Amino acid sequence: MSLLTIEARLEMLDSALDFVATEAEKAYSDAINVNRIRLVAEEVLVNIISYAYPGTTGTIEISCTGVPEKGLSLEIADYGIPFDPLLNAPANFTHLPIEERPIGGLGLSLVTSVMDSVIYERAGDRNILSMEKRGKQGLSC
Amino acid sequence: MESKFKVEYSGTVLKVILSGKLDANNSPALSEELSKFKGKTITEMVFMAKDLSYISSAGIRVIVFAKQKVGENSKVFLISASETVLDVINMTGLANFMTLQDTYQG
Repeated sequence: MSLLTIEARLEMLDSALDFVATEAEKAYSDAINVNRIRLVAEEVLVNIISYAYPGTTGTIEISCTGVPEKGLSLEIADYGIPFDPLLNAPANFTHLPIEERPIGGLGLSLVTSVMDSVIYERAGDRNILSMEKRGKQGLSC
Repeated sequence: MESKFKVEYSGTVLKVILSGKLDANNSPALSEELSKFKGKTITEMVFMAKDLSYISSAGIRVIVFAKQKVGENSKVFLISASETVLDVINMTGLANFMTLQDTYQG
């Protein structure tokens, strides 16, 4: 398992995503899946950076494990205001013509469609989003 | 690769040349740049993606924004996108509403 703690700032995004992608590369040998994991991590991290610490700064803890064939688990936690992103998930609108879509709100539907499981938990003063994506063997790690 | 973009407006074609990543870091700047073309006659919006290595939903948002707020009546093109960029375009359902080409043919 690899752990990374970052400040919740947009400037930290690239290094955090590289960290997650490195684990994803252990689990998946194809660029498509590694890219999808990166995408998911970006959505979750940008949400936290944008909304978790209004008017102040804080940290984000990322724990990620990629296992060949088995898949990847990714846990992202913060100490910000309690927020369950799954409660506010917009309806899937990927079928809508480009003219009729809301401009935002796409991110979370990507997270839930790429990952096999997404669980939110408020534990003490932490928001924890635990996600898993299975590998070829169909087992998550 | 350095992430950057260049916007060219010629005739009624708005061409956006992308490279590196289009993500939460630089998408707002591209939206702002594209906003400058509001009110111009735009028949085609062409996103040149040969050197684009990554697009996130923030980048997708720019394309949706451009279509809705900048070139409402334009046809949207995505040119020479990589396999991973196309995957994101497909997942977000945008592929049905854009013309995908290997080279820009208008």
